Amino acid sequence: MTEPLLAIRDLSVDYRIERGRLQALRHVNIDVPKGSIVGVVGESGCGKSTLISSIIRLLPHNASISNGQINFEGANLLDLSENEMRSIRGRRISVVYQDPMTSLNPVLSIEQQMRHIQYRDTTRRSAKLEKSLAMLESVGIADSRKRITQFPHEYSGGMLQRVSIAMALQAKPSLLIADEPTTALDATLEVQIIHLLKDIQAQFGCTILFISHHLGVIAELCDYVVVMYAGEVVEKGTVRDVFHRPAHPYTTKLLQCDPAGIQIKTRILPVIPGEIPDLVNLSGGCIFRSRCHLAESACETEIPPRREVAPGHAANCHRLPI
Amino acid sequence: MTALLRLKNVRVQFPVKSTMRSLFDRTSPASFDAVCDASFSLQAGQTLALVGESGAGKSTLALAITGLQRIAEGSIQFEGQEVSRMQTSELRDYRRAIGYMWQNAIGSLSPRMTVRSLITEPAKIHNVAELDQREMSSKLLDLVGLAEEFGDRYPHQLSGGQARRVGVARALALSPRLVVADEPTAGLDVSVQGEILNLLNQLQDELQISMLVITHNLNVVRHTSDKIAIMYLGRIVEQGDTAEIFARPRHPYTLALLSASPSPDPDMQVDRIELQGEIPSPINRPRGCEFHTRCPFAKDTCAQIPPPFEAVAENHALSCHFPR
Repeated sequence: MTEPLLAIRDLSVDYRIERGRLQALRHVNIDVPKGSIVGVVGESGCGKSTLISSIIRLLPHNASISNGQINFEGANLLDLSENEMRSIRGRRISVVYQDPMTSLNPVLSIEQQMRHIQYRDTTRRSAKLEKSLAMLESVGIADSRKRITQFPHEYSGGMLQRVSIAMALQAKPSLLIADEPTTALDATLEVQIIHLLKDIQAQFGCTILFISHHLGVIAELCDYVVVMYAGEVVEKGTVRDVFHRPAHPYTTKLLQCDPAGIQIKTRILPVIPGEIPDLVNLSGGCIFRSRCHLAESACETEIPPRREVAPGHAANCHRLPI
Repeated sequence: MTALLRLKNVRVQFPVKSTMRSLFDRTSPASFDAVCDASFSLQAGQTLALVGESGAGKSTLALAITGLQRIAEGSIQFEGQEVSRMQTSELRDYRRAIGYMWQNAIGSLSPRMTVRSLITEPAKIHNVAELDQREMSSKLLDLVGLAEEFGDRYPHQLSGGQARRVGVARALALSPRLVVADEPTAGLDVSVQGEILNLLNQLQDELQISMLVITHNLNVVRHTSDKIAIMYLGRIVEQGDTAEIFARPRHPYTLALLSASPSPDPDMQVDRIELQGEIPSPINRPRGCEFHTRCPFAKDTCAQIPPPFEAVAENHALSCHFPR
């Protein structure tokens, strides 16, 4: 197998907070093969946002990367200088954020914002405009010559998300990180954006790291899926393997909880009782044990190792056969 | 059996121009309809779900029901009494009878009040002195499944699910007969969504309250509601019993909403009805059937004549020229 485009190795990130050291990510390993769409799924507090900020090295000041590597196109991003990193952000790796209403500047027109992000190019202003127009058209914005002069508030949510995708793709990055890009949108628009991302992937051949808490969207869009819980990767594999034969109890329960999967009317819906553990005082053992119905004594004391259940499909659970 | 809540041809209008401008400029309309011709009834002990995308008028309609939004036409009757004609004192009693769960659970709680004072505040406002505050708050916390110590916490110390539970406690504080839940699961994790829906179901069974649930997610209401009304651009386009709507959806918009939520099965072949474009502006409503601009099955008639809202079966009605 060829070298993956992005390989996160044993990454651990801590936050210094008043109460001590909050271990937001612990020994995370993720491979993103070139040309694929990899989904990261997990609920609030699982470390999805910390993961993105680590990749583009925009962590808050109280965070520190205590361990690991982020290998991207042959270099470890954590070793690069701030200047080298600047040449990667937006050009080799770009991000589409969750809420386009807040990620775009409300007082600048779309044209100005799309021109500003081409600040590295020495081409003429008119060439930059043409490039912006072509990008808008490729994400399905009709009448782009008129719409580009408008301001964010004149766009609807779905259209604005298309604009942010166009801006992210403008420099033809090799990795596109999409941070819950459909969460702020209505269901019928969500489907449109998923299809757009699929088309774009085919058209530009870029690799997408897709972060979401929505299982259905991941199943529909991605090739591979990484399931995270409380700062750890608990399961990963191809979408088909993980969704059809989940190996980790958390994945199994998460799939059962999704109301979209329950076809027969019921008054009592399945839930995962309990809450995410406190990441400040970790005591060792399996991170999911307090909410796991299968927990046994080994889960209390030993961190479960990664076990392969099928080629390319692995989960961290003591109950899996070695 | 009389209905607890009965709406007939309710219309809510919002102005688009100042009064002064509308005096001089008579060419364009002075207001637009956020809700048009909404009619439904809700029986005691039942749950009705209003489903639609943003801009469909769901929340506006809910505000009109609570009397917080004036209606331009039509009638809203609660236990036979006309809401729009209530005097101030009657309105106060009426609002005691309805509990409202706001969409933004954390934002609707004052950040400087403890959970205990938040959930007993409704009693203070309505001068209900029957219970000791502490007793009342522990009763309510227990009811929504929060431990006693949560009474001393502030909103920022709550998780999304816990804040939602406090919202439920506040709504139930004065033993209402109707609870309006605006997007009760929005922004919650999948594993917690079920908890809130289960809590609402359980409380309804125990306390026999009626509920009006507002949501954009059809999957959420499949398990909680008895009836569904689907709204598009301020109008109810399909309405009926939940089981009937899920078994035989007829309106293209309902079909699109049903197929829009991707299933967590990668091999599922979806026969998806994908809508083109976005919701048109209610200021310039499309002619004919208002859905025809996005409908994949639209024919010439649809652009000309608005379809009537007709019953196709007992407890199932819709407005479409060519139902599926």
